[in-house]
Amino acid sequence: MKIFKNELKKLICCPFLWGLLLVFTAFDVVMLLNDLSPGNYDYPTMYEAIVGSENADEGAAEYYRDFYSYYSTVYDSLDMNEIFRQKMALYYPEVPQDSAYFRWAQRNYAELQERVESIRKTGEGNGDFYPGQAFLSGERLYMPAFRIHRRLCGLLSRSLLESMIWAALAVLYLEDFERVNAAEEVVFSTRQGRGVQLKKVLAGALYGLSGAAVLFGVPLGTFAAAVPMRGLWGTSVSAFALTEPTTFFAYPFVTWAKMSVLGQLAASLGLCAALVYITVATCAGAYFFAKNGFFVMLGAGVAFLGTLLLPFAVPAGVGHTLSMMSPAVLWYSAGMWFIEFDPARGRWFEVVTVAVWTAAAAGIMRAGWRRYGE
Amino acid sequence: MKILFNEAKKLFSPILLIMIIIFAFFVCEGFMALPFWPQFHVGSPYETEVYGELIERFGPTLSRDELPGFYEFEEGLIRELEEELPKSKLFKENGIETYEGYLEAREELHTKRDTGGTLTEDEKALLEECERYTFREMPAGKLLFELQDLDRIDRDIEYGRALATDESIEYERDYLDMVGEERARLLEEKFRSEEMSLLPATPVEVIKNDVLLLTIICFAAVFSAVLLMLVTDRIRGIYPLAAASYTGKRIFKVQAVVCAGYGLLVGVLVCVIYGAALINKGAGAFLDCPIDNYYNDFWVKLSYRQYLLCMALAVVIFSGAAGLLSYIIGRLAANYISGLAAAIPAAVALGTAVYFATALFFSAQSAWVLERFWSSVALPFAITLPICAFAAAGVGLILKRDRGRDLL
Repeated sequence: MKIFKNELKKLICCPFLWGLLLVFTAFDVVMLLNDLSPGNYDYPTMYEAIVGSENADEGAAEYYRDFYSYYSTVYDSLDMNEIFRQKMALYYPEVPQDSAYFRWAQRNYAELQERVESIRKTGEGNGDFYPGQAFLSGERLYMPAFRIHRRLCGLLSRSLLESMIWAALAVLYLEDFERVNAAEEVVFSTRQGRGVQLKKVLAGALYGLSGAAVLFGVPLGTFAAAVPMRGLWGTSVSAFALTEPTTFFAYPFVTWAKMSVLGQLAASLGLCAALVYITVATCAGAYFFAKNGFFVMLGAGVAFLGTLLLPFAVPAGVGHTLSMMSPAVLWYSAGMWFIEFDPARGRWFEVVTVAVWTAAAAGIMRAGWRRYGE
Repeated sequence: MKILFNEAKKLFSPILLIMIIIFAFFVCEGFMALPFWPQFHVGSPYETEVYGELIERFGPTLSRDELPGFYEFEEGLIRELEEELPKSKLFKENGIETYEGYLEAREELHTKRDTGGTLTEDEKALLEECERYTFREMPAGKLLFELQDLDRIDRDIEYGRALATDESIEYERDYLDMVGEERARLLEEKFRSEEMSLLPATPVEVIKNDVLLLTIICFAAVFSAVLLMLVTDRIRGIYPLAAASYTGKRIFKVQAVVCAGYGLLVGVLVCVIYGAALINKGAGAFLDCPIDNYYNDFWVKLSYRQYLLCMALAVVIFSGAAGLLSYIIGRLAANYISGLAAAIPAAVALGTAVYFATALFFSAQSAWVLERFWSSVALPFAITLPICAFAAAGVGLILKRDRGRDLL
């Protein structure tokens, strides 16, 4: 415990990590405020209209009524099987219709169709929320309006990347500490000394997760302060009010299971924590092989970019789905988790990806540790 | 000189070089516009080919006197296409024999489909045939895309955006009234000019997109190599030894020169490779075209070649500045990881500066330039110069400190 505390102290006393944390947090807050402050997005006024306050601005209330009545029938005609057909034709035209992969994806969408019917039946899609896209004079404009969901996605995406970088730097700083200070031979010449390396991983992971808590917490706090959300957190993510266009399509976010905005956020934060942990464990494991924090950090950056681009190089099919199962791809789609998004993803895509990578990171750690011990 | 070579040699780590090459490859293939231009760009995949042919015939600009020749060229393509259309049985059955007829039919079917109408089976088949002809049937598809490119020139002339007359310029009147006085005068002068540039929009868009990514590649290469060299020196305890002698102190200065030189070299190398790839893609045809037209709205009458050189110069300058900045960070960093941590915000700040400096350069399109000529020149320099000055001053201060250092 004493060693663990000492290692943690090394991190706490490290000024560059604090500096980087400050820079990242300031950057996030500035970006978020910039996102939230275009002149025509008057959140408090729209909030009054959404909750039906007596003091609501008449213009905003009329806008919201029009928006609501226009989209209220969207679930009546939403056909996920047709969306599947269109997406496959657009993104994966080369997949044969009689292949097992095609049938698997088709089954997923059939399941989503059942979910749509359940939303229709239970009225889950009717909740109030900030309008997801603009609406004018009875014509549908694919121009985003309040886009709360998209802003939350942007927030998660930025904070997640920064957290992963920060946590990786923290753990590699600790791992590299003895080497950089030319004390490697002294510390690691005994079994107990080598054991310090494992405690460093734990200290790095704890510190990395604490940093992630700040990197997510401050922007989320800023968001909560800037956007009135009381009573709206419980609205279903699948409510038609949240509808925002994604690439060529514009229909409500159909989640695989019933999920409120707050529920999705909480689950996403859990996934983010897992991804930060995976980053820490993978970097620490890679360090045991490379014994050089600098190259591990650079290698991690290159590997991240490579796995992000891998799905573009792999033809549609099982291989493509497997290539998408990486932390980089998950990061890229941050905020769109647990939602129908791509025919190559199934119901448990995010969870399975995180589980597989957690196991892989543990495997890398174990193999690296065995090699290091030798 | 020996010290210089010895210090320069330290920058070349084989593992690092491999990593940088892989990184550059990923950035190019994943995010740059050039690998996808012109094939997958929003413009036509045959844009460089057809505009290249026009430039070969009429030179880098098209004048009013050359318009009959241009229309003749266009009609030639239409005639070629109209020889291809009757080869389709479906087109024959639906009486589509002319280019105009083809466009009308396609437009009608698209409108019906997109406005919620239900297409009959015959209409679906006809629409499919139209799409097949556009995207898969050769040479008809190529001709259709080329005509689409020429149509853009036709529309520019018709709507007073180029070679404008008193009558046609009225289409742009609302726009001219909306922009500032100085810019409106410039635009009107451009629209009424006796010659129009044959440079399409995409060659400039590609550069605007890729300049930032090129500098990111340079930053990655410069920061990682310089940090590795300087921090390794620090860890090996070379600095106190170097500070103990007059010759040793010279090493500090030589290292700063090597870092700046390395930054410049990487910048030049990256620009040369990118330039070669750009020319290979067919952009060589546009080198003499004036950059300023309806799509590429600039205050000055640079040629595309001059524009490319200016952008390359920006990349090289910023890469050199990155060399100096990484020298500062490398000298101050106690270990690799703190060096990397400091390099991340530095690279983001430099990247932001590059983005604005190159986007604003002589551009009349961005609201940031305040719609004044002077601002399009002053702002890029106002962004670039302080960064270079800061980097140079920082290096100067560190070197001054080194002069006063001693072993004890």
